[in-house]
Parts: sequence; C-alpha cells; structure tokens
Amino acid sequence: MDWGISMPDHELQEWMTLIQSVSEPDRIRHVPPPGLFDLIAAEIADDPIDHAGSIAARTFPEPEPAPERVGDLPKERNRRAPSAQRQHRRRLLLASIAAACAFVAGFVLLRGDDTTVTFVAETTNSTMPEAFDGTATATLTSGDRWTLSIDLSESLPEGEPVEIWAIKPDLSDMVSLGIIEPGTSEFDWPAGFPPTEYSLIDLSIEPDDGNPAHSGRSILRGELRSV
Amino acid sequence: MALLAPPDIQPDDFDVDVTPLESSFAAGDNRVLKDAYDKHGSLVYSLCRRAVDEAAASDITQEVFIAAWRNRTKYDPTKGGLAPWLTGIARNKIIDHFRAIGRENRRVDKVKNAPPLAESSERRLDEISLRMLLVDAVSELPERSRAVVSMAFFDDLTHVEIAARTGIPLGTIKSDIRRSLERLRHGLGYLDA
Repeated sequence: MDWGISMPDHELQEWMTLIQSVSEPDRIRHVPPPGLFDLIAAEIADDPIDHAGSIAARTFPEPEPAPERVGDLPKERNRRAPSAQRQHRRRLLLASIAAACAFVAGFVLLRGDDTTVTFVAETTNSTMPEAFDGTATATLTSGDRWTLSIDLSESLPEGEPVEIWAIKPDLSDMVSLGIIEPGTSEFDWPAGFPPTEYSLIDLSIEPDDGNPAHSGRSILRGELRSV
Repeated sequence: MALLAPPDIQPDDFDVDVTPLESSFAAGDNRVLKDAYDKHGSLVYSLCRRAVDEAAASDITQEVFIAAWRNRTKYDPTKGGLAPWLTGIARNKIIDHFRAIGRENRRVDKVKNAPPLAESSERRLDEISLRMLLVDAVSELPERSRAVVSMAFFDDLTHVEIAARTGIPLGTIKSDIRRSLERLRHGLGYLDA
C-alpha cells in the first residue's frame, strides 16, 4: 500500500532511535483480570441508549469538559526535540551537502508545459568525490499524483544502493523519493513536499549501515527550475 | 507556461489507515467497546502495571475505558490510532492516581509535604507508553514489513543480512523500512500538521 506520506529525514532518524530503544519489558503484556470488562459494561449500562442499541451522541449528555490532556497524547506531548547529537549530525550532513553543491552545474531545464517539466543533469564540472560519470534526465509529470521518472545515460555504480532525494535549496530539509534499482525508473513524488520548495534533486550512494538518512555521498545533483 | 507548478496535494489527500474498529468507535457504536477492550485492554492494563500494583492497574484500566467511551466523540480516527488515544488517557489516569495518593498522604499526615509525581516520572511514563505502543504497532505491520523491521531493529541485523535471510532485494528492504516507519508514525498519531 502506498501511504502517500513521506517522512522528513530528521524525523526518520528520531523514529529509528525510538524503535531501537524498545526493551524487553516493553514487550510484556499482562492479561487484565477476568470480569473487568463486565465492570466497565455495568458502569456505562445506565448511559442513555438509542433504539438501535448504540449510545447516540445526540442523546448523550455533553461530557464534562475533560482535562485538556485526555486523548491529547498523539500530537505534541511525545514529540521529542532532536537531541543535540542528532542536531549536530544533521548540521554536519547539510554542511557536507552545501559544500558539494558549490561544484555542481545542476539540472538544465529543457522543456515544460502546464503539466510536465523535463530537465537534464549536467555533472561534467562536478568535483564531487564520487561524481556519477554520466548524465540523467528526470521528468516530473502530474496526473493522479506527481511522478518523477529518471533516465540515466550510464549504469550506476555497483555494489551499493543509490537513493534519490528532493532537498530544499536552503538545505533545511530533505525527503527520499526511493532507491534506484534495476528496472526502477519512476518514483512517486511525496505529498506535502512541493517541488517548488524541494527543488534540489540529489542522487546519493547509500551504504548498508542500517541508517536510512542521507549518507552525504552524493553522486549527482541539480535543481528543478523553469526556463 | 514552463514553470514547475506545485502539486495541489493537501494533507487531506493522504491515505489514512483507519480500521473499522476505530471508525466504529468514533461513530458511537457501543458494541465495539468490547472489541476495543479485547484489542487494547491488555496494552492499557500492562502500561498501568508498569506504574502501579495489580489492584490499582485494574481500577485504572476500568476508568480508562469508561472515560474513553464517554469521551468518544473527542476521538478522531484520522488523527491517529485508538491505541495511542487510550494509552494517553491511561497515562493521565496514572498521574491522577499518584496525585491522589499524595493528597491523601498529606491529609492523614502520613507524609509531610509529599511531592507530586516528579516531572521526570511523567516523562518516563510517556517514554514507556510510546515504546509499548511501538511494539504493538510493529505487530500490526504487513507480514513482510513486520519481519524486516523486526530483524533490522529488534534483532540488529544489517540490511545485507536481512537480504540474505529473506531473499528480498537490498533496495526493497531499505524502502520497506522507511515506509514502515512512516506508517508507524501515522498510526501513532504523530503526523505533522
């Protein structure tokens, strides 16, 4: 199933940290005492019931104002600010990307109309340490959803996966579009990440280090822009 | 026009994983209260047991489901799963329980100036709750994703080791993990708004 949602990189890192913090006691589940639900059912038995057998909101007395925190858990309370260590790592990563950006010629827009934009990656002037020895054409098209298709002039380096990213020009955020695999040339553009804002397209080598954040090892980068 | 037009995609267009139980609960069908209890009662009770004894855990679990039912119109399944909503109520009931003990102790003068539950304890309760929710949420992932996430995070296998063990392509494993984390985040109601 396509969830239609993509997670910004810093949030992904936070969730990785969180899931890795799960310990054995967190897995232990106790069975509630027998008859506990009967007590609950008895407690609400006197609540108004409509003819269909369900407690109707329209006949149910307005609940007393619940403490603000009741049911309010999901949004903010448990959202954690990135740790100083993670923030530092993120700054380092973005700084490395910024340094690499200075040497890349970028994507050159060839053609555009109301629904499609075509652009080409020019990397011959790149001094990226691991620059891709070729060019790429990426086409962003709209339809039911936006799709980015990519056509590479040369084979990608073998051995390690290559991931495609969309990055804000100010390097404040990025989102992964997916891994480029043999036979894979199209990527859904994630909702909530307007191409006008996430306009840097980046290909990076991603080592198998268990970390789905950007590795900092870009091989190709350019900017979506109009003619 | 040759501009790259921003896609007209809003958060409302996101696919939302709302289960029949969650939508029925929010709609007020009291038959699903039992279903909700059967599905999440153990999680709520177990969270309570991390903080209080068996008797208090039973009382608080009972209070949680009664409060949840009577405040069900406040539950919005599009904002997150029923489990985090219930554990949010449980968390607050546990804190109320400790505050009541503190008040009672002061009243009977058993403990002079008994402090309320320390903020650090509340934070720890939040962390425990979140990790327990995560365990349950992982168990709800599709089979392949659940296996990949479990091997990557719980068994500490590398992506290469997972690929060798499962026969799943390396890139697919990485994509699976990313999508699974996105799904977990959404299921637990942590969507950025």
